[in-house]
Amino acid sequence: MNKITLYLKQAWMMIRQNKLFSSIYITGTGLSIALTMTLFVILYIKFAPLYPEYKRDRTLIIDSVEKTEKDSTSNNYWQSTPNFSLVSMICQLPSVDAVTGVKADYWGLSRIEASTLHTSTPIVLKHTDAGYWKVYDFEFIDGRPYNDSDIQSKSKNVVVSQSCAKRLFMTEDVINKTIEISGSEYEIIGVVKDVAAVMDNKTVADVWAPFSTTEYTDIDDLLGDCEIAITAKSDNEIDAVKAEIAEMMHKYNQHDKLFNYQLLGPDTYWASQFRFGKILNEKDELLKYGYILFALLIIPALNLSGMISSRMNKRLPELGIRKTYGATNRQLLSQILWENFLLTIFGGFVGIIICYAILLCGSSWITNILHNGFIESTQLLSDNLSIEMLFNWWVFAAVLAICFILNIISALIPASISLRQTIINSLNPKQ
Amino acid sequence: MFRTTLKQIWNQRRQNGWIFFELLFVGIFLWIVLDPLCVQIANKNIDRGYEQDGIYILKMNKIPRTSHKYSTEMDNDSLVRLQFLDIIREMRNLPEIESFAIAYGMAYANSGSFSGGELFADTALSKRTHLQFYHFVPVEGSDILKTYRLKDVNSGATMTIAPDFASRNLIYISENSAKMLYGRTDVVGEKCYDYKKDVREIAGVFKDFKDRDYNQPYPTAFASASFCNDIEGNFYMHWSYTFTFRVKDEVDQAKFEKRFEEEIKLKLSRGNYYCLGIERFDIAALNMAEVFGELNSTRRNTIFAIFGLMCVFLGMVGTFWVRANARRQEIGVMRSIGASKWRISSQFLTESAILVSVAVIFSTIIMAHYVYTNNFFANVNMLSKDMLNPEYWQNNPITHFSVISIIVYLVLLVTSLIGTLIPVSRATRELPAEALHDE
Repeated sequence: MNKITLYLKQAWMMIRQNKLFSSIYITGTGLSIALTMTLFVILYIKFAPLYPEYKRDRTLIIDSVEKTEKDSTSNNYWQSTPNFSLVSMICQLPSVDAVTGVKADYWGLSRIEASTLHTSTPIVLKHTDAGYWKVYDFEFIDGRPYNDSDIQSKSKNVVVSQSCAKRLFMTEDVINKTIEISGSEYEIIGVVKDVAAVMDNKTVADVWAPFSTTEYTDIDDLLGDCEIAITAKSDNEIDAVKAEIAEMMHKYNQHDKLFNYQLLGPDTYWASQFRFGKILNEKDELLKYGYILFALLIIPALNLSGMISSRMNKRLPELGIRKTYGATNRQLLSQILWENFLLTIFGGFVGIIICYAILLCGSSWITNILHNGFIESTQLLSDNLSIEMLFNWWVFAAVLAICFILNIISALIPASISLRQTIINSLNPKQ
Repeated sequence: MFRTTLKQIWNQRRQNGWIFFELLFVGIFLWIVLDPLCVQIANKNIDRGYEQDGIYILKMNKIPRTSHKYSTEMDNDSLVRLQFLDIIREMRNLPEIESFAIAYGMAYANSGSFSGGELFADTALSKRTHLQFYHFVPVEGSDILKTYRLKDVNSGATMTIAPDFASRNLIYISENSAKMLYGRTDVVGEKCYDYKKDVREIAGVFKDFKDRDYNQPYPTAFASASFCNDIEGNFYMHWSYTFTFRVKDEVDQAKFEKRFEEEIKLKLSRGNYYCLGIERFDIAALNMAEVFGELNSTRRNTIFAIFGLMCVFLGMVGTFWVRANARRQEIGVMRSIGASKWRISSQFLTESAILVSVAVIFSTIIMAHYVYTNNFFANVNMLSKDMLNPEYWQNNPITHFSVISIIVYLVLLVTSLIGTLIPVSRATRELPAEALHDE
């Protein structure tokens, strides 16, 4: 431990002596760590259990259904989002914990005007069934969610977010108050904690209303305009749910004389993030993330290796003297790695600051940055990002791991090469 | 000097190896990120073929049936038609408006909608082109050519719709459509056919037109159709017909937008219809670029390009700072025998330039293989390769490869030279006596 303290002290002295070199090294490391950490935060937001989607590890998604004619001479083919009758069928399966249908918004999450007697504001409205409040763990600050009887009676009861309540009424105490949306009056029965706008399309909204209050109805037996999220009773039962849904569809198709229906899914939550229509290409997408991570680490690592290599040349006489007095290559290598680790840790701090600056400046688009093609972005009354997304142990552990990896790959090879020199060559490198 | 520099590079091969490999990696990395970025910028810089500034979209909505404000009596086909015509007339008569077009459905630029179809130059259906149809309703003075200020390909004059456009089943096609069909642009009066062999007469050819800002011009036709020769009343009228208009050049757009929001919008409620507001075409274009991911990929590639260049810059500064420090004595000797600061700097700069050039040669060879197997960044808005306009550099494989390679080389070279110059000029500023004192 004393040795390490000594190494770190020496490294601190070197940082103070070579300010330009140190600042370049720290900036280079910080840059790499900032982008790598941003990548981790994006992936964390995409896949980790976050409010209100704490059950992502046991959630299954069905966003599309295909319909073909049983008549083999026909090439007719339909593809659409499923409808709410499929939700009713799935909720009866034994391994299913809860299921919900969320009305799809084909034009992205468009904002509509909500108003009270005194004010009006554009909001994002989401129509769901009652199962929604079981699949997702919304935190109710006040009131209650709408239930099955509200759905059946087409009650115009809505749940609003904290920010929406504050914007419309300047208070969170809004239960039983009414708001007008698209010419219809709704009564507020619940207030939930805000959802960050970068969360999944199914959970982001300012106002939630029963789907039965909309005027558009399901198109077909199984084709309609809702997206389905299912939670299994435990993550071990995901395969059982998939098997039960496959069996259910098999029976349904046997029963239907004219058409065959095929679900595009159910996909596990993480796999659903990589589905584009019929194509589920999670391996290629993960490989893409791998390439990006490789580039973000290898380019700065080469950069730092070059700088360390140049500096090692300058320090050869010092290493020669240490060797003369009995220091082993292993001890010297350990010293160099510790010295660089200190610099890398400083780089890590710089990286965290740059990363948070990137995330806050680009909060509305940064989580989509790796996505190709059509973007579903939402502008809510609440913030784009939440505290739990930015400050959590997983992200900090990832930063520390990156610092460690970067330190090893950038310092190990140039240091080992320099330490191969004999004592005489080290003492007089100009010869 | 060149030979001395080469010798110097060889002598410092161990340190140079790291920076060389970094340059090689960054060269490849930059090629991959700059290729789509440059193509997107090049596509965006292609003339969109119409004047975007001054055009607006009128956003209408309808009170839902579930609302207590909904009126069943006001919602029959003949009434809603009259209500809609009334809204059009109200808008048309605004003093700020120069011209307008009633788009059928979402047939306006940057709507995100695409109505594709084929046109043929002969009844044998041998010469064909796929194109985007803009169907619009030619009633009440609706003129899409005038509203968009489309230019005649031959005369350059702003075009207007012929008064007998609908009755004669006329069609206006873009320059690239005419070239695809006839191989020339002077085709006014020529006949063209749809897949049912229904004949249409070409009434004009306008300059290439871009539906979205980040796309290349797609063959386009402005056509009438039996289903949209007149406004028909239906439940979804606010989706079936979109009112787009141009304000006069002398109109202060900010003032007009304010007046619209405060005054005009409220006057446009008819029956169950009400006005949501107006959207400027350039805002709609920006929104489309956001939704279709074009801004997203531009941001991503810009961030990655900056990251790669920053790494190279820092690498060069770091490496040459250590190197210049180690060669302080040599610099001192050179300065004491009369070498100028620039003479010394140029030696280091040449070293740096040689390293960059060799790294870029290797990275270009690797990228040549990469694009041979994986292709260039594709321009996705074309249905087939033969529709690509060879006049754009990004559509010609050799020019495309050369342009991107040169850009990568220049960007890398400039970054490296700046990165080298900073520590070297610092070292040369030292007095020769001080530098030699260390010796």
